[in-house]
Amino acid sequence: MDLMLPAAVWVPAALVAGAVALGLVADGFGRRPAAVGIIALGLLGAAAAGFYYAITGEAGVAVGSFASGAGFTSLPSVGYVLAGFAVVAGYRRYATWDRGPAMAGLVALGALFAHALLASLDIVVLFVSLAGLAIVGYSLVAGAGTREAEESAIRYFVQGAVATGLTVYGFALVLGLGGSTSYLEAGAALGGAAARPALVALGLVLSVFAFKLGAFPFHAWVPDAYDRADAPSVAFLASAPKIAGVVALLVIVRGTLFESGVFAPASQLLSALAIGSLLFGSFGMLRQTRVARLLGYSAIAQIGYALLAIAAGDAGVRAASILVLTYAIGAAGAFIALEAVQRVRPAWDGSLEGLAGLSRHAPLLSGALAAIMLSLTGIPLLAGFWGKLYVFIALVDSGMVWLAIGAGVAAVVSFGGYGSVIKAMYFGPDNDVTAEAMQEADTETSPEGERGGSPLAVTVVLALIIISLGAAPLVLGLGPVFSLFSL
Amino acid sequence: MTLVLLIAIPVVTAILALAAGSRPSWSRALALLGALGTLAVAGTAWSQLAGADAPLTYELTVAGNGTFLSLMADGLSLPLVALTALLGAVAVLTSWDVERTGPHMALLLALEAAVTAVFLAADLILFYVAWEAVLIPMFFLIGGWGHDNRRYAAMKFFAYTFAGSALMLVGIVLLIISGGAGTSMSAAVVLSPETQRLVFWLLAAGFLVKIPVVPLHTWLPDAHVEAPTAGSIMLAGVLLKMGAYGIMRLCVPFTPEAFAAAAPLLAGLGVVGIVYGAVMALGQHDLKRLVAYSSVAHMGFVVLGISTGTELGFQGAVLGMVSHGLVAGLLFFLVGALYERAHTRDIGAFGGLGETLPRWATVFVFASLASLGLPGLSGFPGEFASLVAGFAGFGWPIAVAGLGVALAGAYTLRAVRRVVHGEPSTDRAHVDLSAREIVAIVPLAALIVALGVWPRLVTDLARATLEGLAVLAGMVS
Repeated sequence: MDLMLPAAVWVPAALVAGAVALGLVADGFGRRPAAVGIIALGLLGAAAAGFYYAITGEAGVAVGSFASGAGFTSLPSVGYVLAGFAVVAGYRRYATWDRGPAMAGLVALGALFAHALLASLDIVVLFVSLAGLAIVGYSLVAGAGTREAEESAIRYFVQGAVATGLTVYGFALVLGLGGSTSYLEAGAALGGAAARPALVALGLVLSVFAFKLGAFPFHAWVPDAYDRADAPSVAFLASAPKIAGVVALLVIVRGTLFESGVFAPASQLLSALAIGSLLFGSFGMLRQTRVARLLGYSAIAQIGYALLAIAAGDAGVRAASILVLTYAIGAAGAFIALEAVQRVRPAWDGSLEGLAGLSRHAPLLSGALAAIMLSLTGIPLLAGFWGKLYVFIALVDSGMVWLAIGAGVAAVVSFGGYGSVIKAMYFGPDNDVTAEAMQEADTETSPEGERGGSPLAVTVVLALIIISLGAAPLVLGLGPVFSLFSL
Repeated sequence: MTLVLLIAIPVVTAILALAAGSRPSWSRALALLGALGTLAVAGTAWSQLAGADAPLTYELTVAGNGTFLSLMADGLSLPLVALTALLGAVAVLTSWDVERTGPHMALLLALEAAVTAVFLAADLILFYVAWEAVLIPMFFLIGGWGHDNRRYAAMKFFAYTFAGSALMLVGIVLLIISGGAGTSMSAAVVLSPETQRLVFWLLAAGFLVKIPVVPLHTWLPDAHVEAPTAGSIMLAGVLLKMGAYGIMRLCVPFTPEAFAAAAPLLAGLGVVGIVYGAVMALGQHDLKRLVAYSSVAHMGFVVLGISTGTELGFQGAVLGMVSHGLVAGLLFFLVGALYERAHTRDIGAFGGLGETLPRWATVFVFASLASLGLPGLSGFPGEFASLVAGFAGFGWPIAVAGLGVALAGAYTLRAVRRVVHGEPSTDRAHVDLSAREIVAIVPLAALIVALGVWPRLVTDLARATLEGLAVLAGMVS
């Protein structure tokens, strides 16, 4: 392994690692607010540095075990921003809770592992970052501290342990057949290896990613974990690791390790995972009564679109990265919005019905959350549309018109879920629910001018980003987005 | 630049009206100003196009690169744009006293901007973006200001039309990719027959739901009945036209062979819509639902006209669309005004309104006559042209549509007899139309007469464009 790293890789990572170390020291001295603040600043600083390198630096540089430049630097920075926003939104929660600074630190470490995973060009880096992200994930879910959260974390952990086992087998095969830990070298050797064991290796590695991304058939942990962990932690879990996972999979399947002709069945395998995810995710959303569970199923469906794009071949590289980018911003925004709802209505139990009448009490928050929901649906003028559009383009371009039609139908089904959130906030209670219920909701809303605080501010910022990313390309074209995020 | 203003004015005033939300009178004034301003610009565009040989166009380039913002107004789109601007102003006047004025006005203006953008789009991506953008304000208007069953109606409206448009998006993507000529809507693209068929039906899925044709129409009565009056006016007046416009704008030029192959089926759907809409309208007790079903019938004539692929049929379709926009807009306005006073729309609850509300009743009879296609009013020329073109194209089966014409007379006159004549119902509405309401009615009524007497008002503007379309459609049939 070459240890010379480009600045675009190590500067953001060092900022985050430094901030986490400093934060834990501050926590050790009992300065919880300072600790959380330092960690948030470290994450946002890392993002700023990353964007600086992405804009000014050379695109697509591979040095040693890491790729950097353009998308390989800008997409992790999006992860840092969203992780930073999650910590800012959770500031009050983290700064007043003895476990809080550790949770914030976990989020930051997770963003760091996500960066490593995304930029990885080496199997050892891949393995370490996957394992690191998994540990961060279990800890964040368990960290919420409730009995249900611990139960979910254990279930998540057991499933994760199986996935880790598969990882070990998969990487052992890749190493044995490929003879190197470097993607490029191993990939070249794998192309000439015996087809059957090579395909087994592919299947094992894809299973690992399916678990990590929450795709069918390893999706069961997602709704549970998202519902039980605290909202700011999920805002991170549902965003940065997804970007990293999808890009890492793209690099492995479409660029390096499994690129050769032997691995043509990868497309069928990915399509199967994608279709299953779309079905379970989209239809699963329809039956939910709790918003966080609904968003969990939404995450499964959205990963389905990303996998479809990857299955579409080279045409799907751009589509998958744009899709997961817009999804991650939306998902982070949605969970941060839930944190804001909790502020506005301290007695909120997380149910859809509990959102009734929110548009009257918190018009800004409701508007932002509605925009986020419509973006996740893929409605134009919002960022999510471009992701869906490019997935459709990739599918049609590679002759998979019927899968494109199926993906369109899934988007319609998913509106049943996203729309129900909007319906609950805006369209008032059903007529059989009397005015009393509305009154009750009114009294639940905290009277003393609590307006949502930092979670509200972050939600609104993210909604504005979603709207600008959705509308601006109509006027400016998509060129700037493509050049900043190209892989 | 005129074209950009047609979209920009309502967008900007929508934002201002929303910002002025705490002062309802400001929101109202801003909304009216925006709607009238748009109407004035639409008039300017009309006179520009009437005096020009080529369509009006606008294309934005940024740093030498074309963007998705490319607009075009020709004889097919401009009548619909003008109709949108007019009904937009009427809708603002209708919702003068609505609760939560600011957001309501903002949504109306946003809706107007989105529909206008659909008609003006010269880029496939922009077309789709505008098409979907129409859904959002309408969804919130129905759900936020609708009647008792609004939650269900809003979700159903969104789900149906989104299902259609998701398929349409795949069709558009397929068209862009297999055409290989970029995203411009005026690109000369020749697709293989196989691809044409797929593209045609994917696009048609979106358009036919929107028109709507039977059996894809079930969202319409619910949406219409539950929508607030302004929403119904925009929905019937202009949103339904988007589907018919889409077929003429995209299907005919890009997939002429598939269009020709599907023409008999389209004609059949049109005739079924005419008869089904009329039969259903005959059975309604709810005035608003009656008008909603009559819309299905009227749009059936439009589909029939389009399906012939002839210039006469296209003219019938365009006239039919403009006329139905005016007449249905007027009828929904009247029904809404009556509901505001009486809090019911049940035909049985009214009687003798000719005595108690003479002005309302006069306009209602007038609008009903226009709706049933009385010669001399706007409904006649379009439906007549569609029928003639239909007979010429498909022969005797079109005679079934004649049944629909007869039924239209029956359901309309039944409603008039029950509501306007008979014993006055004493406990209902007492206040006749106000000055503000009459201001909204006069232009609609005047245009209904004008278009009935002098249909060339529209067809002169549309002729060149429709001729060109008919040539494209005729190349293969």
